[in-house]
Amino acid sequence: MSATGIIQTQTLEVSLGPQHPSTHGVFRMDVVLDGEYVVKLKPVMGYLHRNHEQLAEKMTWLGSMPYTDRLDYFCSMTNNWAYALAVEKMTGLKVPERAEYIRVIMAELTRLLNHSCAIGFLLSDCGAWFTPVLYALREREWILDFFETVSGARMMCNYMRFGGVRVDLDDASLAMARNIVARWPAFLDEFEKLMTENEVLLARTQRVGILSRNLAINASVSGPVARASGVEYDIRKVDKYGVYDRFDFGVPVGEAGDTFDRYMIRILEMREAVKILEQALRDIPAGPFIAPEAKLRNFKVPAGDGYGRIEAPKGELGFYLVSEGGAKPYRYHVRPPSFINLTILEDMCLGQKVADTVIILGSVDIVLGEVDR
Amino acid sequence: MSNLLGKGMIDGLVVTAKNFVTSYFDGNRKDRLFTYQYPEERMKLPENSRTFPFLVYDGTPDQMRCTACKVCETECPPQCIYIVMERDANGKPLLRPRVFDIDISVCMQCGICAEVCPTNAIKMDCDFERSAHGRFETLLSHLPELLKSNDYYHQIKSAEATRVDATRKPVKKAAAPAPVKPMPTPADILTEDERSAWQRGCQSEIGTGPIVWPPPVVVKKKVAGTNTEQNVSAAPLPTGTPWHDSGIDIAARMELAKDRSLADKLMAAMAQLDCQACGYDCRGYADALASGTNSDFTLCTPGEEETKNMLEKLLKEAGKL
Amino acid sequence: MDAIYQLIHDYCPTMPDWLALALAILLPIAIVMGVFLTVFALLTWVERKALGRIQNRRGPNRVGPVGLFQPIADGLKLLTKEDIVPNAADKVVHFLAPVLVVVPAFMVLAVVPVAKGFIAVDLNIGVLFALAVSTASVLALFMAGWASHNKFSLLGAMRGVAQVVSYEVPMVLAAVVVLMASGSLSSVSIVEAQRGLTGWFVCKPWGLVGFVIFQLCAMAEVARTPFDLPEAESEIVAGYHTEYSGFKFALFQMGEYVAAITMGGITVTMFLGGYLGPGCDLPKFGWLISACWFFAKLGIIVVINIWARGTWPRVRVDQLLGFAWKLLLPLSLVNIVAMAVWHFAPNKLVGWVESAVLLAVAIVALVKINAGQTFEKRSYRFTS
Repeated sequence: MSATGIIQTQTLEVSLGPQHPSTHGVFRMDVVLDGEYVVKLKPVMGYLHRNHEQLAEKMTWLGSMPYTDRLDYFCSMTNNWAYALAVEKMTGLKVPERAEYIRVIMAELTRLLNHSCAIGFLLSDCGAWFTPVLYALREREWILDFFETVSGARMMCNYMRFGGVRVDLDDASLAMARNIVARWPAFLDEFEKLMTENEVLLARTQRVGILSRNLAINASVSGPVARASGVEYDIRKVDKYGVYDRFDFGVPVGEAGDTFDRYMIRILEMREAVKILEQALRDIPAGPFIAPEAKLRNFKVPAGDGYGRIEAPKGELGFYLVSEGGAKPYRYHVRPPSFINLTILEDMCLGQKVADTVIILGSVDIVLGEVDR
Repeated sequence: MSNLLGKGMIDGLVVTAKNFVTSYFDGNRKDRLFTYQYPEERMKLPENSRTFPFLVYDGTPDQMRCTACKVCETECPPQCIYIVMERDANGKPLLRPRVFDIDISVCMQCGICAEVCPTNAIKMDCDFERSAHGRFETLLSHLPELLKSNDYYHQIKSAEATRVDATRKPVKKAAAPAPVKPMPTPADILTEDERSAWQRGCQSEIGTGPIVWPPPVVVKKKVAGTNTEQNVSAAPLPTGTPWHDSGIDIAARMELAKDRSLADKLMAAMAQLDCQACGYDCRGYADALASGTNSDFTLCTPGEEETKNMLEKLLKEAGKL
Repeated sequence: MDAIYQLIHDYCPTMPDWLALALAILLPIAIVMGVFLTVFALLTWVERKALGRIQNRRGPNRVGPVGLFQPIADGLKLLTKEDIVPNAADKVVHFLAPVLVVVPAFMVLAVVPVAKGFIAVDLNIGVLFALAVSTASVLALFMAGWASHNKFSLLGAMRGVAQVVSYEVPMVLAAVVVLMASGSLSSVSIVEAQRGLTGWFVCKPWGLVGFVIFQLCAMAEVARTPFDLPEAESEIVAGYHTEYSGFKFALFQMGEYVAAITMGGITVTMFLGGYLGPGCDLPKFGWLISACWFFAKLGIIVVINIWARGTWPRVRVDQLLGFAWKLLLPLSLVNIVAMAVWHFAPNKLVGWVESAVLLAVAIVALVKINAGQTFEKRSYRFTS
């Protein structure tokens, strides 16, 4: 029977991906269609698997740091931070205050970068033909220039070190960061004017791909996807890692849990990130940028295990590490937000049109480097 | 929606029209047209930016800073560096690389080699135009093309280079003979055995420790002649060196060797890289120091100050200094 | 055609009759094809440039001055590419489809009066011919989708058929008001009926509504954003022409663009006064000036198309069909009534007011009915 229940029709099995323009990488969805309706959807992952965890177990603690950049290649700074945080927890390294502030600045800039691109790509999936993406990329360029000035690379920053950061922020780069923060609200206004009230977008996204609060909690979905469904869960507030307890910021929470909410939550989060950045850039203290006792070579971690997690732009990013006391981790496990958030894709897509699956996937905001590892 | 239906779509048109028009009057180029028109204009890379590693030399290429200590080779996460130390006719190491290869196709530009280098010899370049037609030889950088002058380093990263120059001691390489000859390529210096040894090394598990190559046999013979220490030592078997792991820090290594002979203690103080920067492997250098055939305890470059201080302390305690 | 035949007879009386006839047939075709192929090449360049600027890019700027030769380079590239036909494809139909896409697009050009006295064939059923032939492209579209033996192609073809068939109805109904006003199906008579300062049909309430409906339907019919569902790249790769490469793909592109131009030409002819404009009646250069007017008006339509493509997202297939059947169709029916009211009004002013009010009420009512359950205002709470 068809989805409408009136006429007998045949279903059509379509493999969306891995070579498909809108799967954000090499991701595949095995979709069973009844006309344009989705009756079954199976996410197939693993096309970009590159043995990240096993590789890290054969490498020194420091050697894995540049590889974490390649997990979620949009957000190398936050990936670095999560890994460094896990190792610092195990070694008890104390991070100097200036380094904590620098980390917050980098993480929030990463959030701006990631969210602007994520909604840009979401709108591109809606068919806005790259205009929003390119506006987002235009502004992202400022942040990437800043990252390059500070860390030496635009995307693969490899910036954090156990016990601090690799390079200090000088006055010129701080001015650069302030400039970015100053121009971001204007960009957001332009972006919202371009799209937020567009009737086509509203019709496409409202009440599409609804994720209920219960399912979000049960599937341990995190990040903006969970908050759009009304789950008040932000690790910056829960764990207060780093120096996040010193900043005044809110966490936007949605009600409906549909694609439009996920879009709006990201925009609102960017506005909050700008607030955090303003405070961090105002209050950043002087001092060392890396713990004096931290060392690069012959770095080893006392035996034991530790789990470091942060609120990455896509959700809860955690590193679970086990050490035997040597120069290499015994076990290295990543809890990637994209992967966990992807598990509820079918629940959101059932009964929607094939065109909706694409924007629902876009609104979950996955990066295949992190899903497949 | 309290607004008039269709207002959102008109707003969008206004935004795109504004972008269309202002892109023609883009004074500050990055406000609108943010792309660099590549072959005509090249982006000025900031000083910190890193592409591929290169080797710095002072003055002439013979005065390279690299001591072939192999720290970068050990630490490189994707294992793209390969170093062989130069030796003179008698097999005496010359504290400089004979082969220094970096596989650009494997290098991931993380810059860890430059961070860990004890002699400030390897630095990250700003040259991003490294595309080539082949996947193999053309992307393998050898010593001659890796060597770049300190002036070049100053040119691309002036602040950092000045900082490095301030920390560097005056070059004390006068002792090392500097034969002026064309830089050899691996093809004409590696023998068949060496090549297969290297391949075997590559096949071994990643990160199980530095690949000890060539096998340190020359030095051991010398030690065998001076049997005074060997009589005293309890069990100086090559397998009985639990500290021989560069991942263990020096305090723990000394702890492991605390009941052992002087030679073992000295060995535990080394950086455990068998890098042969001193001219021996770690075992050989320790034996040479203990027997007095070599009294210079400052040769362990990768061990840095802590090894030197520890060696000095141990030798003083033993009355050798 | 007859005029050219006469001309050849006058200047070359010795020419055999069949040759003169053949020349008289081929010459206008050559001219029209030549002009519109140039316009097509220019249009691809203009579109890419304009979209580039809208999106803060420079657009093509490598081949020739300001990238002007980019269409030629594209054409050469597509010509030299390998032509791949899927193994499972229906070879004959797969081959025919791109040809059949281009032919109707060019055939419509026969009845578009490009300048004063310059029309390939002045058919007395011109508009009917144009609407009928332009719909024929849907056949080619479905052939392409079916013959490719690809699920994405099939989905695209299904969408395309549903879309073109649905939008054909309000489109014809919107054209009806023009036919009522001009009393003719001939495109030249329709243009001539729009003489005068406010003579253009778009300047009248029913004309404006008709113009908007017709323009939207034209965009849907030639699958332009926001109605580009048959080839929605983010959803079904490239829709019906997923499995086409090389020159066949180029033919699809050409058919699409030429169709966009011809639909624009018909819109201009029916609502924007065609080639009419100050100076179009001058004895000597009237034809040139009128041609300039026509292409200027066509340019406006093209700009609207490009602008919309650079700004709006795409609608979904059910919304697309709903839009046609629930909004445009009733509105175009009301529009016909408004035209009738206008026609039988005692004087111009009363007609204006009556038809305007009628249409305004209809639009508000239809939007209220349709949009009421579609959009909602959201508010978000912040926890700290």
